[in-house]
Amino acid sequence: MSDTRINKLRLELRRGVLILSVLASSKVPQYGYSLRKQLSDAGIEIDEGTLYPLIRRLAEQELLDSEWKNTDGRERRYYLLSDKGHEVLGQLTEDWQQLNKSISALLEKA
Amino acid sequence: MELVDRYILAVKQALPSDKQDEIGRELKANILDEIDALNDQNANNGDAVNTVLNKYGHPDTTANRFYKRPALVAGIDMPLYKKVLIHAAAFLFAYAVVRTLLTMLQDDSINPFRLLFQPLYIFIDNASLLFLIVTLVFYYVGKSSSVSAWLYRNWSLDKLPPNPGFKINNSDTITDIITSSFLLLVLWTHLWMSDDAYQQQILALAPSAEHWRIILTVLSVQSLLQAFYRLTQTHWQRNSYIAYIVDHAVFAIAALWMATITPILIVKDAINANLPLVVLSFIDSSQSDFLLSVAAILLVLMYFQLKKLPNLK
Repeated sequence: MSDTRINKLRLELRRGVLILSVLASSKVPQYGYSLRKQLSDAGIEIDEGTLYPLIRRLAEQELLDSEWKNTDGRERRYYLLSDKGHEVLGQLTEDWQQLNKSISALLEKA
Repeated sequence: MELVDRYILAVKQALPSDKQDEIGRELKANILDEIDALNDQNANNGDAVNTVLNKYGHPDTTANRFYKRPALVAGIDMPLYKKVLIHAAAFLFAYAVVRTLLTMLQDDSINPFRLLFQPLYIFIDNASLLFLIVTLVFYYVGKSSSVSAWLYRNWSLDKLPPNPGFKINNSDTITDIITSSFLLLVLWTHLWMSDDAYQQQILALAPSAEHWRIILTVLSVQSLLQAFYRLTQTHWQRNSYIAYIVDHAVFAIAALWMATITPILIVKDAINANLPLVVLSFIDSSQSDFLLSVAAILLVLMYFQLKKLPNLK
């Protein structure tokens, strides 16, 4: 299979998990780049063109609170997990763990 | 940083006005952070601005990532959209053909070039408006929810076609609509044609065949109703297929019957004298042959339809 096709499949596989990763990383205030850096350090590479719009969408869904702050002489928009976001993160974490268990069992059999 | 500002401005121009400042401000903060990070990683990299902006890509692409504009027709509605467009185009074409035939009937002239090109001209003239209307309807209805999801909300398994291999051919249905509509309009010319044009008509129904006006009207109306019903269906059902065969059978019988009692059409007295004898004789003698040919075609069609019937549930 071509690399392009494999990359597309990888992208599809990661898409849902990215939301979970972003929510989990937003328990402390994060701005766009700091969040990308944290995810990258954790081994989750995500390009800026995907991450920044995703954070905005999560904020529009009220899963993240946001405020503008001036730090190091530059204004940045900081995001923090909202109460609703905490609730959703709990549910998604449970789902993820259950799914992970099921898929691991399937992969062991294969 | 001038390049960054120009880039942000280009992105903002591709966004709705109420989103421009907010998204532009945030995008700028993110881009500046990315540039700083790249400069920190590689102090000699003087082209960090270009690298970061090239990675973001075309301003329209970036704008589209931040704000997804609703598509004119949602992907999920595309099959239905194509279906509606094809049906509407078929109706438009039927209208164009009937309108051309009626114009020619009024003018009492059969010009083959006009018959070929006028329907095409009428079709092209109206097709863009049709395309626009169908697309706008899908756009505005689809803004709140999916059009097909709304239309198919009451769908259940029992609505699956019982004969999936027997799709109704829409071009046959449209041909039936054109034929029946035209026959109805020809039968009742005196109701819609101007007095002058009507008086100039060469042919008229023979007084002894006047009752055929009613019989053919009834047959055409039921044929038209059947065709409109078929447009709402995708696949044949046994009953609708039997009705279709009966429709052909009835028309075949009518044609055979009329062939025995010709002339059905007569040349009007007022114009009689102006026509060459050979034309008069042709009109008189060819009617029965024409009707027999129509009956033969219908009977052949029926033969093939009857062969299919046992396979229909």
